[in-house]
Amino acid sequence: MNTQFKKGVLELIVLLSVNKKDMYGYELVSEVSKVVDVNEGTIYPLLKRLTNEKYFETYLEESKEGPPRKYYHLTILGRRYQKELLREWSTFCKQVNEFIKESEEYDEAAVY
Amino acid sequence: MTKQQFIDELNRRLQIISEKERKDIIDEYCNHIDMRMAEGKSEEEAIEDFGDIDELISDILDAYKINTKSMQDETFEGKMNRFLDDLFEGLKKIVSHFTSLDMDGVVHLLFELFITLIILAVLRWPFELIADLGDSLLDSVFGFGIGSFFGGLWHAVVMIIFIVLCIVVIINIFAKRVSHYRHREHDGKTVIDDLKESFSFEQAKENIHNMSNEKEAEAGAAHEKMYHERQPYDDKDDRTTYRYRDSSANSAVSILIKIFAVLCMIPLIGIMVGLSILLAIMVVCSVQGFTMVGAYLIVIGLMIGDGAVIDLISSFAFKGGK
Repeated sequence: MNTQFKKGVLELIVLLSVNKKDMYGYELVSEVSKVVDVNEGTIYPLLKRLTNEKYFETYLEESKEGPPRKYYHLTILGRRYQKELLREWSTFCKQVNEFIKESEEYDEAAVY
Repeated sequence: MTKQQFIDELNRRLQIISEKERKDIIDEYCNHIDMRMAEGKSEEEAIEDFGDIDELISDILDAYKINTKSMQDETFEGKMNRFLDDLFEGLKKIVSHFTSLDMDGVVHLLFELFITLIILAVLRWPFELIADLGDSLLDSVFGFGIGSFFGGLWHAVVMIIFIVLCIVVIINIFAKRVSHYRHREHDGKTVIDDLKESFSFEQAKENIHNMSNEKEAEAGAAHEKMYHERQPYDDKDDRTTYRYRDSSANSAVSILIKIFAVLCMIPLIGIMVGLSILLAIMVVCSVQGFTMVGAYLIVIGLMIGDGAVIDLISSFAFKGGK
């Protein structure tokens, strides 16, 4: 699948995932990979960036399976940003789909 | 790539980020790799899944709003191209700034260039020494025919290293001096500091990057932004001068430099003494009514120059860091 598509929507997917519940890095990567197949490495820098921009808060929690895990939590700012992104995505999708529909009609018309 | 190699690479290329943050990032990746391995993947596979490490570094730096444009293009060709472009830009700037610099600036610049060349000429001696030592050593070890071949080879290698070093240093210093004068900030950094920094190759590349960083910052605005960009720059200075002191590769050179510095200082001090006597004679002549303005200027100029050279050499050789 086109990398540009994936990169664009990755942020939204990450935000939506953490919105459901607080997650730690690896868990988040797995969640996101279910929706879209991205390079696992690039998710961590994205998390870093979103944290630096105050959309996420992080905290450590002990785990039985190994070292303490860093959990990501969506802040109020983050929630607002996520809603905004969702809105933008929906508008964007709608416009693109409309345009595609028009092009297809044109295509069919042109064939005959 | 093994996990340790991956970690080392990240550490190396994320130097600009604070240690705490860097550790945080690397820990997360390590955790991820460990968990993947627990699922059955091999170390190499887990790291491969991260994709292109250059892109990764670029993304990470993006998170800290660090200019990554200059980090792309890690191929040698790319680097060369960028280097030549920057060099050309630099030269154009220098030409345009010579016309805008006042006489003081120009004289300063030329003087410092001259000093740099002298210092480099002095530094040639230890390299020559090493080259000759290697040469004769190889001669005696391998016997005449093959020995002289290896000796010549060794000599050539050492001289090439030296020439590369000179070029790096000269370009470095030139770039820095121009940028200093451009901003009219003489914040106490002298050629000595530049020279010390130049002993690290990575610093050299980063300086060229900093020049292009500064170009982008200029499009924006003020001195303030410039000052802030200089902050990470200054941190690196402290680190490189620290590196200069710690690295064992440089300490041999620094000992040799100290020896030659002392040898150079002796005649220079002698010159200073002679000039002082000359000055005294000039004063006496003036008292007698016999003033030679031109001669005065020459003597004073020579004294200042001599003093500056002595000062440069002594602080370079003996004070090392700050």
